[in-house]
Amino acid sequence: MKKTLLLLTLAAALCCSLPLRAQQPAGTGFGVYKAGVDELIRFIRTEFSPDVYCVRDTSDHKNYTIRVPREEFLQRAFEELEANGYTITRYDGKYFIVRGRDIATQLPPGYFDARKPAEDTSFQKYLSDQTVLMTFQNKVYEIGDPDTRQKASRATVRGYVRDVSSGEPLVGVSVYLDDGKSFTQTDAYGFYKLTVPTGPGKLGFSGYSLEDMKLDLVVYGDGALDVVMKEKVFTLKGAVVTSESMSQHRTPKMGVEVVRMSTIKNVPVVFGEADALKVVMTLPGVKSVGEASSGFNVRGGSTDQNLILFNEGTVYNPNHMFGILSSFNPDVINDVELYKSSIPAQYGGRISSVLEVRSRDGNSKKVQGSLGLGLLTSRLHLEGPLVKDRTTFILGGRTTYSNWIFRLLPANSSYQGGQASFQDANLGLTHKIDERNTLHAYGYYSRDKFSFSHDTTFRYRNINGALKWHSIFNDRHSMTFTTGYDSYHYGIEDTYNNHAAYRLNTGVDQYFAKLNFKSSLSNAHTFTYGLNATFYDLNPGELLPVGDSSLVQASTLARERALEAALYVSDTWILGEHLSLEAGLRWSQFFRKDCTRFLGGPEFRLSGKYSFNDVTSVKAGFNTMRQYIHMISNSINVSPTDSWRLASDQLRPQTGWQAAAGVYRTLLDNTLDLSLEAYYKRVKHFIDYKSGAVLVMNPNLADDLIETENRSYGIEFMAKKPLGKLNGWVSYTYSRSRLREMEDRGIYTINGGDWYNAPYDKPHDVKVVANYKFTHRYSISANLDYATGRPVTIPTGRYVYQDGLRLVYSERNGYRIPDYFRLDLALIIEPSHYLKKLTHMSFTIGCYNVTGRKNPYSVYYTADGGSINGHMLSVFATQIPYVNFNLKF
Amino acid sequence: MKKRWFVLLFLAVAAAVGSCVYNFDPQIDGEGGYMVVEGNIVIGEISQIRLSYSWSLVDTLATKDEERMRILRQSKMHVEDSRGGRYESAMGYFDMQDADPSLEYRLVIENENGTYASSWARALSPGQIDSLSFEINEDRTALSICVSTHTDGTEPSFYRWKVDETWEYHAETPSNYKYNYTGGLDGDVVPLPYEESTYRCWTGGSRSEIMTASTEGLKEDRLVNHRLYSLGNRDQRISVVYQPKVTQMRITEDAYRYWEQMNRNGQDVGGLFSPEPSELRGNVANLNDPSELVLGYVGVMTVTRSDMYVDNNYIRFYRTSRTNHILDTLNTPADYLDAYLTGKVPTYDIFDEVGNWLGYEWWPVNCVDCRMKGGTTNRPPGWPL
Repeated sequence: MKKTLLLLTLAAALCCSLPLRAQQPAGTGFGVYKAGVDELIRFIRTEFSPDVYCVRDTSDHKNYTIRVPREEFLQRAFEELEANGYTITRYDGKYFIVRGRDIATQLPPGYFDARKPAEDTSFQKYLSDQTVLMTFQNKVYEIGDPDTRQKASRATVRGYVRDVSSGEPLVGVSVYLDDGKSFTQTDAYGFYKLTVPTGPGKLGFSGYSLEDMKLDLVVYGDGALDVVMKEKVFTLKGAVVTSESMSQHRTPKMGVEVVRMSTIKNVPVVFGEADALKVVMTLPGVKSVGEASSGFNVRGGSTDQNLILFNEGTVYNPNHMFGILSSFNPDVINDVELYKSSIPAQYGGRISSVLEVRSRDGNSKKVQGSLGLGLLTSRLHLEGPLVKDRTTFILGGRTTYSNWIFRLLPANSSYQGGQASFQDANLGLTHKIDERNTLHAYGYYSRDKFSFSHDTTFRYRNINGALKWHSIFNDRHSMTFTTGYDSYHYGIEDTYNNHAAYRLNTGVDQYFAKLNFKSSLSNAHTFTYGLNATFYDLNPGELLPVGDSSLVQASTLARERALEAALYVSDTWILGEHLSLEAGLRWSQFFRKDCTRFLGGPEFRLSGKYSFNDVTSVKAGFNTMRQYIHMISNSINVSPTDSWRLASDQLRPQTGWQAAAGVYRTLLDNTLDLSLEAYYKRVKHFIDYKSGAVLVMNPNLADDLIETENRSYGIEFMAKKPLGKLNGWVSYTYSRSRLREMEDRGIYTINGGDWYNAPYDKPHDVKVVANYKFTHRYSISANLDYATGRPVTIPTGRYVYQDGLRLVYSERNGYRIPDYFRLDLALIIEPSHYLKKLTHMSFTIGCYNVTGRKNPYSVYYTADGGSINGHMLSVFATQIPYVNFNLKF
Repeated sequence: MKKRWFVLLFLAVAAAVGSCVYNFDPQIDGEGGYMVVEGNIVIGEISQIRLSYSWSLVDTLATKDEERMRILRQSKMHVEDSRGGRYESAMGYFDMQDADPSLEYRLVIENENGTYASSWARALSPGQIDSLSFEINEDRTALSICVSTHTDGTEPSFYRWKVDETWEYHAETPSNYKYNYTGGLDGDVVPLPYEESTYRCWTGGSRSEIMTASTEGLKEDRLVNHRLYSLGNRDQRISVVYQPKVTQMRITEDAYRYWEQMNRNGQDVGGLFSPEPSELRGNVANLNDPSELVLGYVGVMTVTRSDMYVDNNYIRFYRTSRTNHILDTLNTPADYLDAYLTGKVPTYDIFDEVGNWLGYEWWPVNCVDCRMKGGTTNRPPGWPL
């Protein structure tokens, strides 16, 4: 008897959540016509026996048409259902209809003795695997098997959160129980997993620019709940709980900044091209050496110490047009995430930071696209399903017509032959194999070509291709496997003198594979572990003659090949409500044939968080990092002529550690986040250059380099209001970064072996990014940037040599250029909000450097024959107005 | 060969994005006081070594430190060879005409701060100048002087060139007359003897560019039409006949790096992709205090020379920019005196349409006397007619 009861409750619980629709076949005889399973079961219940229980498979959309005499109907219906994969079990005069599973009519032996739920019963398992797609909220959702209620006090709810109209996974949506204790966020696949107490509760979903949702739950055991969410159309009033503000107090990670594309599009930038990297530079702790440079420095690190990942592939030169634009197309980007302190153990290979740029998945419901026209570029993107709800694509491309800039040059300048052009293209494919397995394919291509005279041409290109398989084994274990190829090549062709005409090529090719696992062994521990391997194949330099009369000797520096492999494991450990820890260990090893040194070692990643309450927490972290690839450049900017070299016996890997601590507080009804972080950082074997170093085609490069140690420290304050009529952030940073040569080379030691300023050492830094929405259609954005001038080396004296005045330089980076200040404003006119309109237009009208301040990029002296003159170079020395037009269809 | 990029990139990027370069005074005083040693030990010739001190960025030459001048005056210099031979300085000049090129040489300077010496070095043969030539760019805005040279060796060579230049230029107008100034009204216009003509002038100097090049990375140890420097099309040097006299030195790689950096530090800085400037150590050191920075590099070398003439009559490269002058046609002694006293001189006769003499055309003297622009009327020996 008890057995029956068990099954009854089970079945009843499930069936009551099914939408019941009554539909009789019109005017025909006995039977059903084109009825779904639900309808069929209902029919059987009314006509034959109320004791029919069915668990409908949500993926079953088959229609049943059964027209037979009444006495044959039941048998025929069961046959049909069985033919369609259902199992019909008769027990105690009742029918249980379940797809693909057997019903155990007997409980396994010892069931009532066991304390834990009998997971091995296939029916129970089946129940918990069922996924009910949520589309509206005024219901009670039952999760898991009601009869296990007594067995555990907590259960795991998992599922996907998708956009209601496009079907795209929604990343970073906060999922929380209203008890204020259980909290998680959806990952890059829109997947969430939350441990909740059993019993009734309210599950909340909130995400940036999404409508908040609360679902009533009754949780009995582990189960799945897929949810679709709607983009928020009206955000004018009311307090909004935002995922960003909650998450700060939940994760032990420090120094993680996420910027979404919707924010990026609002930040005014030069020429009005929405640019992910330029927005990253508005975050505290991130600096650049000047305008028109996409290279950035994170917490006193150099530009080559940032790992820039675009859909898992490494991008070595994220610039277009010598740094005016970044090479990421804003139309296909979803968000960028910067790790500047707690770098998860799954990443490695760079000292300072990891910048993850992720593109969106294509819309899975309908084909759509957008068209953008700006001053420098035009853009087109298309996305949509290839197979509805299973396979989607997103395709984006940009090209430039910036040659007009060169036509504005005066006719007597010798740059009339100059031109600059670039293109880039992105392709993303997502294929849902089944509920648990997803395949992604990414392709990226960008190329740049520019020349300033008839005889010198620079080219570079990036190619990235990656294939990613994301698989969820079960509630607790998942896996991601990524493999791909990254390539960056540049070339210079100089035909100034046809007897010395040459082409110089360098490049990086790398092949990588990353296998990452995530396991939640218990409610308290979540492990991530895996294996990364990267095979590098570098061309450090190849010099070729151009033309028949060239005397240039073709020569090639030996290619550098090596394998960087790393194993890692990391545990997020929740020690109760207030305290959580994250500890990671990564062992990286560098295998290079022509190396005799042992290049490898452990890296530690530790961070911890203590929350006093929901709105106040403190964190601390300690990281060590290793870097086996160096960028060789002696210009302060990222220039197209930089080349990459691998660690070797002479060029040791860079190693570094960072200790950081922070206080976080959320105010004003969860709308304002305050944070204060401080860090101290040391790096060894950082490369600087001897005076007069030759960096191009130098087979003995290591002789021209010096190793330095870097000491950085700083304090970052930030107030952030992610949502509301007025949103944005204000930050202030005080930081220093200094270098010291490690080896004593006597009189040749840079600055006599004393500390000297790193070229990007800019102590004071104030940044404001603000957006104010007047109405849904009109908003204004402002961007303010103040920073101490960067250090430069300027002369300390002069002398006469060969009838000309010459300059004496002494202390490296001993002088600071004047401070930097810039204010940008933009007016954004959003499209009309008629959702049914086919096309939506938006305009951005803005002005870069509103005050027209002549911000210095550099200060220098030249000795022009008889006189010494001081100069200041200002890149954008005036207001730059712009208009940008976008069309969505 | 490759240093050109940075200049190009810097200028062009600056131009491309509408950027501007402003004059700017960083308000730095700087400091002087580094000894500068300029010159080379040139075997087979009379060598000159000049000593000076660097000074700060704000001081003018006139306020140079007296104390340092005294040290310079007291400095004693000599050149010694590896067999103990000694060449004494005579006012900074050394007679090295009979020096043995197979020996090593160095310069020694003694003063109260210590004994300074350059590194020992043997002279490299200068290679051979195959030809001098010039090239005009497509839009005819720049004329480059080019050198071709080679050695028969296989190792790359490093070169430095010094250029002394002489050019002929002309006054704006020729003149047939002169005014005999007597102080009174009896001064008169008389024909100008040919020897006193101030129409053709010559002047010269040496170029201050540090010109270096190497044949690193080339198949042969050969440079073909290597550009040394350029002249603009409004440069007076190229207005009539221009003569560059090129002195070629083959130098060590070390010296090459030093001079290249010296050149770059003065020109190639501050741009978007410019390398940061830095100071290289030369090869002169204070033996008593090796940490003292001494500027300059004293090479040991033999030199070869070549010259050429570039005649604007054939290439029509020079663009004149004539200005309008107020000219007076005068025919009375009183007017002559007035005009003379306001800086004008008689040039040629003016007649009306039917041939009646109207007077002399009086021009401002600086349009007539080419010496006003710094040259002399002494024709250099061998100058083409």
